[in-house]
Amino acid sequence: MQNFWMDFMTFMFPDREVTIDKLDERLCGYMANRIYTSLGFEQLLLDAGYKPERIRYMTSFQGQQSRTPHYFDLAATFEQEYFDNLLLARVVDYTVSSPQDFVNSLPSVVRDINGDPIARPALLRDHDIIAIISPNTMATGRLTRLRQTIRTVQVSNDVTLPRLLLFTNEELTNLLKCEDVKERGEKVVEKFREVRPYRGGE
Amino acid sequence: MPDILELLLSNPQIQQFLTSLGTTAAKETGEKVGKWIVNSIAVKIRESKLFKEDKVAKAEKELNEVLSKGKKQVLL
Repeated sequence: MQNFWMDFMTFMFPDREVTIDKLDERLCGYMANRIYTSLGFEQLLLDAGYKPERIRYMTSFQGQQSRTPHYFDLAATFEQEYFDNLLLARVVDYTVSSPQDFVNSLPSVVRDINGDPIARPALLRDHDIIAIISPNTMATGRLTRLRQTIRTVQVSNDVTLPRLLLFTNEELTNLLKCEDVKERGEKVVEKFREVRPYRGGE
Repeated sequence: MPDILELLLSNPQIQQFLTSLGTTAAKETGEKVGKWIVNSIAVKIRESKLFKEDKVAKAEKELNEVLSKGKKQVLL
C-alpha cells in the first residue's frame, strides 16, 4: 500500500526500505510527532484569524527540473485581495536531517518547483511564506546558527524566495499553552509580522 | 476555534490513513502500526498537558475505532 505518508517516509529515509511491515515504533513516533506539530501550527493559524481556502497535509510539489517531489508538512492557500498566498510549513527534525541544510537547499528547491519562468508562472513567489518548525528543543549555539543561515539565505535570494519564518519548539509550545485565545491569536499575528505585513484580518 | 484534538479527529487525511492501515493486506501489521501511531500522538498530546485526560482518552478511543473500522471492512 502506498499513500502520502508512506511516500513521505520514503523521501525522509532514502536509505531504508519503507513499507508498512518495516515501520517500527520509533518511526511511528517520529511520524506522530510531525502530525502533532502540524496540527498545533494549524490551530495557531486559525487562532490568528487566518482563514485558509484549503489546507493539505504531507503534500508534495513536483520539481519541474528534477521531477522529484519536495515534501511539506502543511500547505495552506489564502485568497488575498490582489493575489493568492501560499503558506507552506515544514517540520525540520534535526534528529533526522539538518535544519541548516534544509534552509540552504530552499533556493534550489523553490527554483525546481517553479521551473522555467517563461514556460509558466511561478508557483512559489516572494510574498508567500515558508514556516520552518523545529519540533525539538535546540541548543543555543545551534539555534543561533540556524537563525543566521535563514537571514543569509533570505537576503541572498530575497526577490525569488518566499518569506522564511522560524518557529522554535519553545515558541510553538508557549503559544499553544497560552490559554486566552485572543491573546494567543495576537501573539501569532505578531510572529507573522516578523516577515510581512499581516493581511489575515483585513 | 478548533483545537488540536478537534483538528486531529476531523482530519480526513489522518482518518483515511488509519482506515487504510486497517485494510492493508497484512492487516495485523497494519493494525499494529496504526496503534503505534495513535498511541504516539496520544503520548505527545498528554505530554503537552493542554487537555484533560478524559478528553485525550476519548480522542484516542475514536482514532482506534477508525483503525478497527478499516479492519472490519476487510473482514466483511
